Amino acid sequence: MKKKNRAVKTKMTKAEKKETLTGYLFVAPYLIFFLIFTGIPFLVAIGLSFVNVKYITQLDNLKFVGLRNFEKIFASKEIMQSLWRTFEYSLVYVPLIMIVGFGLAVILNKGVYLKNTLRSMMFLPYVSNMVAVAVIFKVLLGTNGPLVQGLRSLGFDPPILLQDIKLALPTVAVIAVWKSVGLNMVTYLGALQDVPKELLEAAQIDGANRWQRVRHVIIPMISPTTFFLLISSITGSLQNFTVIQSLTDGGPGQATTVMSVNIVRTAFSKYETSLASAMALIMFVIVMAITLIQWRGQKKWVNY
Amino acid sequence: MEMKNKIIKGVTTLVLLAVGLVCIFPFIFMVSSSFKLSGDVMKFPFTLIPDPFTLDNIKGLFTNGIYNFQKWYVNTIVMTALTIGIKIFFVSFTAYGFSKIKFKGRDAIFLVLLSAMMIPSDIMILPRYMIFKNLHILDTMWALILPSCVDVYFVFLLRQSFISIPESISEAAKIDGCSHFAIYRKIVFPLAKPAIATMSLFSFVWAWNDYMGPYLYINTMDKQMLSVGVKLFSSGLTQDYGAQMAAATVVLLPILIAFLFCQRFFIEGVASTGVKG
Amino acid sequence: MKQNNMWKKSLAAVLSVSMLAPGMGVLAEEAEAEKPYEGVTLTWATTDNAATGAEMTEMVELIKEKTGINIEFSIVPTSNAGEIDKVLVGLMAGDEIDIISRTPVQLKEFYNAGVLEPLDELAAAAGYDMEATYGDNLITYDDGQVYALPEYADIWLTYYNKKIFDDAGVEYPSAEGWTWEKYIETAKLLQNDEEGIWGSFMLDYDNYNYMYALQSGAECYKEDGTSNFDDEIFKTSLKFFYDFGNELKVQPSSVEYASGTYPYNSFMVNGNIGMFICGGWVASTLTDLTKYPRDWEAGILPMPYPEGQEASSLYISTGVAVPKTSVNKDAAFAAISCIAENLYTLGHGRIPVRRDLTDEEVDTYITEQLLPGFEHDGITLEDIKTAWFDNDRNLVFEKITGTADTTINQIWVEEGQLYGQGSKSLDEAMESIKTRSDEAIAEALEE
Repeated sequence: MKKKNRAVKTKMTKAEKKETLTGYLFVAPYLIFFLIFTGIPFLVAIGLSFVNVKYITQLDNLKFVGLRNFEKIFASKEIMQSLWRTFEYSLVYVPLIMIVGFGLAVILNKGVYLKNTLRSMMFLPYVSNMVAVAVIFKVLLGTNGPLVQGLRSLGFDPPILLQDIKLALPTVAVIAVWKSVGLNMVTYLGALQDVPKELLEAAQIDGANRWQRVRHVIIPMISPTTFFLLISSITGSLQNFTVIQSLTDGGPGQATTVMSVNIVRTAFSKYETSLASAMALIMFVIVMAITLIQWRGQKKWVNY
Repeated sequence: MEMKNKIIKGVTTLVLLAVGLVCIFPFIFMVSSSFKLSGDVMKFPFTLIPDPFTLDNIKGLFTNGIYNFQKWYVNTIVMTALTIGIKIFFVSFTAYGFSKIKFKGRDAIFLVLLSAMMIPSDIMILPRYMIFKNLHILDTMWALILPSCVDVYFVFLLRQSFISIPESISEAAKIDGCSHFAIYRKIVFPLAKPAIATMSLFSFVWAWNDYMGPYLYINTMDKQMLSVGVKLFSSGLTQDYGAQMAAATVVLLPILIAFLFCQRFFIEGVASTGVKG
Repeated sequence: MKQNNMWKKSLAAVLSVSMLAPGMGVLAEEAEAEKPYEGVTLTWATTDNAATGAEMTEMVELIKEKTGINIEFSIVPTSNAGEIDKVLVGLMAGDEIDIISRTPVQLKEFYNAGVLEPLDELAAAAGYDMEATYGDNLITYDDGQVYALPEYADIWLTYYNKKIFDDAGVEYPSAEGWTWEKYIETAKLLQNDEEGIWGSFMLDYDNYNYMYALQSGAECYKEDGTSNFDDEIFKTSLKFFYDFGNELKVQPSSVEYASGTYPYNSFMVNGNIGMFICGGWVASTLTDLTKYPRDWEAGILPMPYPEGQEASSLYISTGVAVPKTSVNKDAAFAAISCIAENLYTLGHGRIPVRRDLTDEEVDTYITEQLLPGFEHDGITLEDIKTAWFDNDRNLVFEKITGTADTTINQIWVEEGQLYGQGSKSLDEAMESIKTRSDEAIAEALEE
């Protein structure tokens, strides 16, 4: 097979050219739209981060300030703390959503009654509206909420989760997982259905127990899905503005003021447009780095 | 052994049922509250069946004389339908290009696109606003539809799915003289239906729930979408929980119905395509 | 806080007799005059709540009647602190809007962004004497030009639930010597844990944290430009506010406010709150019996003030302005002057910020326009005069204004919350407020 391919390849440079042309025709419309709606706005944002703009209507004092905005960010304790909080949030969110999503999918796929009903129930939070959900959670976890009242009646002194300076951030992350885990679960379910039954049966005949089948057959077989979900979960963990804004508003104190909240505040309540752009650019570079490392590393564990 | 398995299965079901209940409790709370008097909503302990039962909250939405919920409903449906329709073809076409055609620079371009997923979107609000203005699509639903069609997430999703379609199938078609477009239309697109169904469902949910987009880019009341409409409606009624929950219920209902319907479709789709990893 | 003093003086001046201005005569004349802008349509960017209210509808009719201008709304949902002000984003991108109204603090961002039209030339062209009508209340910024006409003032009040006073057997309080000390004493008497009755109620806005300091005449900035929050009075103020919930336990705690269970209209809706300190705008919920039906009467008093100090109340004003993007600025000016002059006459509890009204005019205004709305509660001319039209009362601008004010107000909210919820000690919180504010000021000055 390989030999044949190579033989064909050397001969068909013309066909290759045609292939390239067709390829570009296929992706060109998308790329044009992408350029208009994401590319240019992003380039503008990058440009802004190297100047001193506060309001885009006041450009007479426009000055190129080089890396000043970035220096400011790294010198600011508050911004660095919010960056650190973003990592803490992701450290709770990403592992939790990956493991829970996979676990639920595996259990749902085999070994329960009412599979379809359960699947629907667990996916439901994903389609809900965060702002509406936030109202409900604030009531449920609030001082007079059922959780606190219930625990009190048992003689405990429970913290108000969303108002506790240490617990607020993990609580928000867990609620975010609750909200989005349905997506991971359903995606995994789709992948699990693609795992050939014969393979699993063969493994079973060979004496592999349930865990061994998961470990040695299922996990490698669905690794492309895992890769995809991992990247999208990491990205998702950084786009947490709505969740946090609606649940805690960045508080108590600055306990849940992560970068996304900080960027929006810097841009739209302090009107430090350039500084906010620079902050966003730093976030972008960090995530890019993480993704690139994964992209490189995927060959080791992703199995196409 | 058989018996033991059944017990394990039963216990697992019960545990998951509990997890499931945690997941849907907010919805039960929401639906139940929308039929309660506002004063009863926050009563502890929570009661499932409203007593007294009232339809006033729901009626209030459509007969308040100020807000045109019906109009918002129509707008949102049209916008969502257009988004899904355009997105399916636009994105799948592109994903085909990125997965089934080998051209120079493909992976590099794809990597650039992928990196766009990581751009904090808030930073693009201002530049986007100006671009929409120059394209004269501000205050029209196109300002919501077009940007969402360049969603990288789904190009990624479909690309993964297309990659899993064995190369041998399209190779065979190529040898038979099929063009890429024909392969896309006749083979890859039909085979990827489950993934496309998933994508449609998610696009639906996102378009339907999006708040920031309509808030920023739609000005005229009559062109507004439901998500902003509900906020408009409820900001005057901060403590009227019954009315707020009714509004939330009415907005979520189509999604829930569509979800229950689509779910069957795409799960069966996965089973019937015969595409194996 | 030069600006504060200016405001104080000028507002007192507004409410005092002024013989200089032609008064209502001008209005009558204008109504008679031909309408040069007949048929012009202008866009007014406003919030949902405002646009659907009766006041706005009546104002639009009045503008039509007086100037012939048609008003269209561009409606935006009310944005909370920290949320994107869509109108400003739109204006920066060149949206054509003709009229906006905001507080002077908010308008300053618009001014900084360069999207506001200075009004001096427009007024000159229209032959309109802004100085005579509004005096020092005109909203001006660094370049000395006028950028907005004051629409109305909002002066803080004490609202109380007469039924709760009756049930507790406590006499209704009187405005005379209504100090914070007295307020606390009364709140303790009203507090009833068994019945779930709160003696006192406030919200979690930034200004509650430092209102006691502002009312005590504290300056927020030192001569050298740094913040003055190491002054003992700010510490007292912070402790004062959170003691209500934490020590005295006569109002819901900071945690409860933060969890969203007590929005601004709780006083009207729940019926279990004895006294409520808030801006005068809440009075509009008293008059709205369809939205807030209730079987009890409410009373109003001026805001309490620190004992040993002169009587004072917090206040804020709202201004109307014309954005640069307006296509017909002369018409827009005619419209905003009509709004600023007449909004209070529509009878929705607004306090005029005009300096050309006589005492009689004020009395007539109160009796004819304000009192009917408060009939249910039996509120009298005297009640309203002492609360809103008392010349001897100091008016203190309700927010910190000055260098880096947005950031500083946010810092107060955050640190106050931490202290209020027990995560930081009083000293830690105050120290943090001081150092963070100074950093913010230094950063702002650097540019």
